Amino acid sequence: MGEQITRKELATRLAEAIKDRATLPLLQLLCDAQVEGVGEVADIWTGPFSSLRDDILGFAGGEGEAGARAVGIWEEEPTTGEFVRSRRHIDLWRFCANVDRIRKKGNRKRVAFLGESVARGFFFSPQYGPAQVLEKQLAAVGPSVEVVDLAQSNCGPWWLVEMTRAAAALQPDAIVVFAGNNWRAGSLSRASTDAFVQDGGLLAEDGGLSALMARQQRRAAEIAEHTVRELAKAAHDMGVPLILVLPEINVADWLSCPIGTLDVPLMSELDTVAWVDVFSEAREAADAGDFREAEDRVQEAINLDGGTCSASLELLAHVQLKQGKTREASAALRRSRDIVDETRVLPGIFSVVAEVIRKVGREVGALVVDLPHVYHQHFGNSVPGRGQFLDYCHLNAEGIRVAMAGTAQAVVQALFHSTADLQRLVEAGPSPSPEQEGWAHLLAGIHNAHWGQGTEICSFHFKRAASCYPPIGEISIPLVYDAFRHGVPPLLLSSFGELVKNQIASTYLMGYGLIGRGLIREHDLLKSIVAAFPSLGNISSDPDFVLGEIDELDLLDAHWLPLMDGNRWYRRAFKAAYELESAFPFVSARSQKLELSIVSRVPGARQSGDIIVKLNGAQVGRVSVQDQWCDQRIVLDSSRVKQGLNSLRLIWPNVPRADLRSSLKVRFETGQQLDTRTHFGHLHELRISAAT
Amino acid sequence: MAVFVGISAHYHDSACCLIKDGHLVAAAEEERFTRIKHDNGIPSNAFRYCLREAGVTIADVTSLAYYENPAKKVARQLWAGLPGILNNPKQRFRIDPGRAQDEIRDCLGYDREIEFVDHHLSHAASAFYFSGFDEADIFTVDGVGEWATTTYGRGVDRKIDLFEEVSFPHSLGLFYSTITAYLGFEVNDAEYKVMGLAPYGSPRYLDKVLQLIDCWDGGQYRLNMEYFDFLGGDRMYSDRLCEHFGEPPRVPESELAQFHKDMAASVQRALEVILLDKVAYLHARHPTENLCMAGGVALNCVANGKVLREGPFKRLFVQPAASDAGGALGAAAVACVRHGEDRLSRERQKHVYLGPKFSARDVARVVNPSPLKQCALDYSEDPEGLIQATAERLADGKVIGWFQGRMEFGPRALGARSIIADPRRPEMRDRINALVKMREAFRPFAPAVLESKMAEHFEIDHSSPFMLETCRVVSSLALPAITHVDQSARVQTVNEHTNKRFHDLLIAFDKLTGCPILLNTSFNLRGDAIVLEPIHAIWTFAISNIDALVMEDFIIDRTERPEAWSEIIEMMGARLKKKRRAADAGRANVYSFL
Ligand SMILES: [Fe+2]
Repeated sequence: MGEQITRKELATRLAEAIKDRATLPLLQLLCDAQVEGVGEVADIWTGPFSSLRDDILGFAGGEGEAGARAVGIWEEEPTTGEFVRSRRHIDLWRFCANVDRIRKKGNRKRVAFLGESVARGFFFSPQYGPAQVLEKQLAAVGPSVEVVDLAQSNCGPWWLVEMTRAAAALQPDAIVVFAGNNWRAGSLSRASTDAFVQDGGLLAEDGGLSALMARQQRRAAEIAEHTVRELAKAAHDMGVPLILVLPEINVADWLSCPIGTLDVPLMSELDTVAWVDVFSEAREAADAGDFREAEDRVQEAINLDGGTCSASLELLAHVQLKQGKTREASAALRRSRDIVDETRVLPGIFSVVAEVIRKVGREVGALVVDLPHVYHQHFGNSVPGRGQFLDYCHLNAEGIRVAMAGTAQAVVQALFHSTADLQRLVEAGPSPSPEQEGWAHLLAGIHNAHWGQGTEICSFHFKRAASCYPPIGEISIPLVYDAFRHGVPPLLLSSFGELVKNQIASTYLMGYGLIGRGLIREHDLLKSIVAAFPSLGNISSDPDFVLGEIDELDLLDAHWLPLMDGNRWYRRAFKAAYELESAFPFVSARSQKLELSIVSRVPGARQSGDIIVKLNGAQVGRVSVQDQWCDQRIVLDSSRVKQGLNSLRLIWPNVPRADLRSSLKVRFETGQQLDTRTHFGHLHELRISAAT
Repeated sequence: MAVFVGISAHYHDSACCLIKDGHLVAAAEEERFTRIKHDNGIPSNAFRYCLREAGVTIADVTSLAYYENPAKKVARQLWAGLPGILNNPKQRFRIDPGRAQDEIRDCLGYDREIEFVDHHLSHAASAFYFSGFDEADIFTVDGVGEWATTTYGRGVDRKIDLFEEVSFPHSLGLFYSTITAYLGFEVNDAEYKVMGLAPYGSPRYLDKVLQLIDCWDGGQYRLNMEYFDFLGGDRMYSDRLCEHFGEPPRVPESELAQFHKDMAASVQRALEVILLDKVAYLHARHPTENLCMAGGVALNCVANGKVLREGPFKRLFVQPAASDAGGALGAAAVACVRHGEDRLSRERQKHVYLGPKFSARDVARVVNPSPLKQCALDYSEDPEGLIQATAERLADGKVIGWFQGRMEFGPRALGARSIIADPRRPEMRDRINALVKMREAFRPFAPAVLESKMAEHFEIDHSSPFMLETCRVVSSLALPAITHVDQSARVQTVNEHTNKRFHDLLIAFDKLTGCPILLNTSFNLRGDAIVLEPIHAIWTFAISNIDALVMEDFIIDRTERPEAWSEIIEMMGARLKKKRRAADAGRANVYSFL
């Protein structure tokens, strides 16, 4: 008992010692020895991937029949020695090749083909994909080779190595690994004490965020090096050659930041005001066609944000392209894609990871298929974009054929020590059927919209879908429109059941679609569909969202959230506006007088300012705003409210605001979720109702 | 206008409630919104709901109260958690006296003064201020909050005085959880299973169990720490405890032997013995007729029944949300009192229907575009027809998802988000277990009975609207689905004032069958939170095998399931199995001291 009292007394003293925020991180010291090794730090179980974490880790338990070997979802059948797809892993079937059994190796040479969703043929899977294309290309230039498709969507580096080791059971003659998009460092807080303290310190400094990102890039490079070496070791243990296919990303046609939002880092009080000024000037100049002026202005913004903001880099690229500076624009876009932002994990290979694959891959004796190089050779000088890609990193049919032609060259060299002509291989690669290609574009349209891409690119995919295969335009697109326009998840709708009768649609919508958590913005999706197919605009929006049918609309309500995914990066009870102008579309049954109630603030505002409220382009009011919540109402005159779709915009004032970076440091040191981006305003309520 | 918000979070089930002008107008657990069972994150969804339900905005909030004192808690967390931290550095972030405040600022947006209310004061207030008693003794018992694990107090008018406490690591909650873990059940979740298992055994190990605790005269008791291990981080009992009982710990999910049943009976009896002893002490200190109880241990309805029947008090009020979620209520009430708000209602809490409700239109918007529309009947013009049709289905042996009005606050479904069935059918227990619950077959379901006829069927002389005590079944009807092996049942009594539609249904079922009782269990699948909104109800209905869903004015009968859904069910089943395995592999079955 005496011991208990002493223990309590000591605990109380220690608690006293760490009650201050500055001394709390002392606990960090105590755990210093426990930080994970580099392989374990490789962590893709964040953001969009976390839902699959347990499914993948579930393998590690080795629950299969006693002594049975397994390669991913395929388990060895003792009687035949074949590997049979296990129903226990039905939750992962849609993330893997649609193959019931992997037969025993025959006379043909065998290639084990591993990788991530890009290697899977995301959007085409399971009917068409890189492995199938590679097999046909190889057959066209030499002896027939069997390609065993082990690529798996959402595969991270740790699991990739596990799969590669397991593939030994299939007795391959070569290993092809097409991966790198999911290789990224885990969250900052897992680093060692030294790194941890330095990371925290950087958060509060000018230019610190930029330095911090460089550190995270270096950590990703370490993980990449570790992974490449492990892959090489696995191949070496099997005594077979390793071919690494280095991915390329969509540079030209992908926005890092969802459209309409900005990712402006927290900066000093003066820098934030200055950044908003120069960025706004740059945008105005660009809109006015004065691209040189715009380039100068946006360059000033980049000097302030240290290249940590995709919004400024992408504006720079835009105005450079307008001036024909393709190479500079491409470099700016790649810089933008290299930004590390823990809150929006997006697959796509970092430049540093690509460098590691090139360098270490060669060091360990692997053949490296350098896709950026292959594409450059094949497609000429154009910036990789919609010609090769369906989204941030997934390939279209042309992209797949060229990528696999480059891979086939390496396989031919590794297995037969001969060479093959790239162009000939490209031509030998099969194309998907028009129907398959149409579905891929249709799903890509949905995916792009859900990740906040613009109407233009989304509509492009929808139009392509219908031109590839007209029945898609006549039947499937109206079904998609219907499935996503209601206040309930598509899964619960009849139209969803119709859509997933198609195998490609079912693979995407019932695989990734059920667990994915991009930015769900159904209004943008519907808008893009209507832009491509104006006749669908006649189908009214769900009456449950129409003012006049209902009395009141909560504009902060998410359209709907997936049933099986309650996780969000931030659990906020309010909307944080990362943008200078926040847009809210709504539908009114008729031209009517409406009342808008706004509860808003500008966090850290040094002085009050005015939110300018615009309805359908015209200013309809101002709302005073300060750093504390303020509840206000304004009336929208009926002459301003249209029947049908209306656009409400709130323009936040550029008032000086307190530098919040020191609080960021404190929060980092206590392990809290970090948001390193500027909130230009907060909305706790935004409600619109018929005025009485 | 005076608006007080109460928050509990960062430990077990997080929750938010709101008291406006002295009246509790809204309360909800965050897990219902996020669909993460036992979600302990800051309750941002529940907070938004409460504001909206009360018709106020964040700018109107007078004060926000948090249900414990994080600064006080840190020392206790260090006491118990430090060894764990050394093994799992990520856990260090759970020790942070500033975290509650930071997250209330960051996630809820609340920027004014926060009222911190001690954990057990929150529990005490959640019972006393909602008991309707002008004066009462107060007894709180849980696992642990800051340091206190048991408190003795007294409430008079608006004043609560907690005059004695038992301090961690000595804790009746942890004692019970330790045996729960030893018996192979999940700590902090499955203590009620031990209670349910107890009647199958005899308390033959009572003496041995009591050797684990030195129960002193007065209010204090001490756990014999050589039998417990709250520091190792991977289990709660020591090797000594296994030696003491001469059996190894039970492997989870394995067959239950007589030893396990006798152990359950013994620990339950031990708890009752100690509670009765301590209640007698409390009464001796301040003799009065009224007792208020809260804290997780107060959810042990078998013990509550004993306390009332065999203890010195005439009346007992247990806060229906007795565990930490209910701490939000107490915290808000304390903030009210501290701000001199003399409008704080002193009426007895009559019901727990404090959560969101949904209109017929809300339901229609979910039902109409779905494939279920073809088998949906709309009774909005004929509410009596709805009751009649539901009663007929129940009499036919159908299992029904019952979704009506505002959601319950607290762990029990009480006729707003319930699964209901005919309690007379012997097969019903297995059937419901197979359809949705997939739980151990040894536990019976609970009955809901018409208050006007309760005495004909149960040995109870007072209303029991919250299913917080057990009593003997004395019915002339055979009620196998709701009667425990010891002839007891965990009764909810229903009258027309608190839940009109449920009451009407019981009347209609009684007319049809002569049985004024329904089997009542919560509307959720195993491992899921109870349904909150029509979307959740439809989905749970779709992927389970419940026969019919009665949601507001709609009745939806089961028909063939769309193919895609069948496949998703299989996928979800596979995923769930893996999640369980990953959780079992990665997490020790211990009470989280952080
Ligand atoms: Fe508690």
